[in-house]
Amino acid sequence: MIRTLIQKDLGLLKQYVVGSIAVTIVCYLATAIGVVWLTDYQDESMQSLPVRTFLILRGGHNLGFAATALLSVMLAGSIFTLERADRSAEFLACLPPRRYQHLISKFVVLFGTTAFMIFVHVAMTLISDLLLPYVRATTYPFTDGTQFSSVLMLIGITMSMIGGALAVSAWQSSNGFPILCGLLTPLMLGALIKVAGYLLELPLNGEEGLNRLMVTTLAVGSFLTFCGAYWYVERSEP
Amino acid sequence: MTSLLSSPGAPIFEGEATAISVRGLTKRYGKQLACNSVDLEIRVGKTFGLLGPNGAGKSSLIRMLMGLIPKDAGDVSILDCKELYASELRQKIGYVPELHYIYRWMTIQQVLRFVSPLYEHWDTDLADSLVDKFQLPRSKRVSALSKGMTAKLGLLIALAHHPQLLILDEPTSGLDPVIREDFLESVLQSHARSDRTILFSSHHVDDVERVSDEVGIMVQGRLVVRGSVDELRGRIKRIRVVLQDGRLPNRVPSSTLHQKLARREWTLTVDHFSVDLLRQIEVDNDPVSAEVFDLNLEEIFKDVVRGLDARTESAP
Repeated sequence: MIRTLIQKDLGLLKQYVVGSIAVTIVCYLATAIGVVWLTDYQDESMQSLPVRTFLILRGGHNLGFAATALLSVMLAGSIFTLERADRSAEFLACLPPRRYQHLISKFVVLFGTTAFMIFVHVAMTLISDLLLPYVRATTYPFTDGTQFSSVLMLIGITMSMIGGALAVSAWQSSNGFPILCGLLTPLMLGALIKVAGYLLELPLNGEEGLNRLMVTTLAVGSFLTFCGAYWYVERSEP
Repeated sequence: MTSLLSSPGAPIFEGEATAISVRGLTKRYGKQLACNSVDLEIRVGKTFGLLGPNGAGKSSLIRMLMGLIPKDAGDVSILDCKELYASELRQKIGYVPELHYIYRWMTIQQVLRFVSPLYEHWDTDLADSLVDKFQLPRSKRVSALSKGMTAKLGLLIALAHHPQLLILDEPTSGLDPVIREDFLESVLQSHARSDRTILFSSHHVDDVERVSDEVGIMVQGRLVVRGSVDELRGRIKRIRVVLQDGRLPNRVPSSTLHQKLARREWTLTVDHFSVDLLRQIEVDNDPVSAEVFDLNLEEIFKDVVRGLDARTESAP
């Protein structure tokens, strides 16, 4: 039954899912175009294949994570609301599957698509780490390996955006407001952390500040996701 | 004869299996009372026609039975199951709403492919035969279907898993006469082949009369009368009384559903008609004449609705 529901949700959200995969590829293609054709390198060593590949992977990763956050919030804001907007949620409510089964199916599509995009970006950045020895031989200034905490922070920000969008979309009939709320969630969290840090005199810069942002966004994102899931299961659909 | 005023909790039909049992079902939308303590029992294998004007509360009642909206009060048991959201219960019910919200982006084939694995007893052969019978183009998107075609697709989905209970909520509303005829024919054929229970809600009296073993008339959230069509015709009569000059009606019978006074002509529609009741009217009013008329279901329906509306308007 769940498989049937997942197939339906994939069909329902086809444009978002296909769009996410396409955008993931486009991020690396766009960076490749920039690196290979548009950048004029003074340093000869920067033109070697391993260095250019490194630049493409790191650039694509940065662009890709921003796109992932944006696409995930669009997906999260639409996953409940699309069926309410055209009232097909009422048709669905008359069929045998229970609400939690619909929820599982929607979460598989949402988190599956997001996880795929994040996996690609993390894989690309790990591959780029293998090319670091070539890069360190050049004048390229940033030659650090991938920091696990910064990747987690990006995932945390994405999670908070998804949570914000899901929590609002659980009781909305159109996706505009939930997407907006999802986009604003990490900004509001950032502001709250700043205020809290100022009042409690906590360090906000460096590794510690990064970790604090990561933990907060992950925790709030998970809590909001739980709230959205609970409200969706409890809600009478028509 | 079935009484609506039977004591709460007591089964209306002693010793017979009931498909739907409703006691004191109440639903409010703010101050608006959509269902006012409705009692209803429908026996297994029977077709019950629920008649009522728009806004009478039929759809609210049905949506509560389907577990689509929460009830405010009362007990509901469907096919001996009280948990109306239960997947097991949904497997046994076919539901056709007035408005269909089947995924518009799917083709008919995709709809069938989506719905069929959700039902344990989905009959692919029956579904295929209904697709052919209804002349549904499999490759066409739902968004491109006419209202009649969509209604047929809805009926197909409701029938193809051999439901024990078929709930039809104004299924023929807005359909042209030919499609309406086809639709009702299909419902009747499906009923003839099984001991399926059907709850059919409509404001088309002739549709209800055609398919139903028993009829209930719902007005202002209340189930006002119920019984078989023959039973209702036998017990609800119109009495035309010509009063003497200058006299007004004296003592209106308590079972009066509707009354109208035009000069000397006093017309009453009464439930539980009997010769004794007629004599009592003659004794109380000393009329010039009093005649009794039979009513068809449509006339009964209209008088019940008008009577209750008039009583509501005259209430303080």
